[in-house]
Amino acid sequence: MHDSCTMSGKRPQKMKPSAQHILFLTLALAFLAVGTASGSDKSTSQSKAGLAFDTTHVNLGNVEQDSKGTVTFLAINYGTLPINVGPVNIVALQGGDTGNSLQDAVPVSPNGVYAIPIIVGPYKQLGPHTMQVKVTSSDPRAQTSILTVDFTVVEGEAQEAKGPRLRVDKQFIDIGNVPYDWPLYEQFTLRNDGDAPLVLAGTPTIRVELGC
Amino acid sequence: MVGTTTLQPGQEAKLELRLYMGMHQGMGGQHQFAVDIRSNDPLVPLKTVVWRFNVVGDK
Repeated sequence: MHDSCTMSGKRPQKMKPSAQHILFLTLALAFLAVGTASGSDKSTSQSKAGLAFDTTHVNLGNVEQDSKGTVTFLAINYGTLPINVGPVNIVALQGGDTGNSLQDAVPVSPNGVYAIPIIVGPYKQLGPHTMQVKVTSSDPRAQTSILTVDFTVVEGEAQEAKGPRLRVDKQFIDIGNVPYDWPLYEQFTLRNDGDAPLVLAGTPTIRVELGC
Repeated sequence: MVGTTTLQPGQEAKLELRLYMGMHQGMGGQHQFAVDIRSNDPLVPLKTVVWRFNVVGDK
């Protein structure tokens, strides 16, 4: 892996710019953590810019019927003034399934980041879906931002709930095109759907299948 | 995560991936990271999740 790749597995938090050049390749599990975060600095902030997102479109691929998932969009404040992000309204453009997200506004400080959680599911209707996520903000240049989430609901594999059962909210996510030097973040929810303790063994291994 | 982590029935945990500095010049193109999660699930002892993105000059 290229030594310029920087990845860590903690929640977004304040980072010193000097630390941003250090290679981290770790993962973390935060039990029962709510998908909220704020305050990550980005040394390349531009005073003329305001609200931006890490991506505007994600594709979850196939998701199992009756399961639930979480999609996270990073709201990034590149401006010099605090902004409020939210509420978030979600509508179905294709298929019938929608989701839930912020009901109120959340402050994002200059050079700060807030991870907007989009809770989707339980997925009901089989077939392709597109959700439109409307994010309102106090940024006059981005009073309404449109994000989209694609997924296809497929029948889940029948599993008896005997013993430990690991379910992951999504097995695939494609966030599309991102610029250079752009903050990237993703989270997966692991759940024990069985009736016995589930033991996660060791540190999850990251494999680079494409790219650096 | 170091060592083992146990989830009781119905309990959840978050697995977070962060690349706050993103990908620099010269590291453009398609990227795909696969994360292998091993557990004592007797049916699926190894589950893999995939994170994909394409680094381009302009968004």
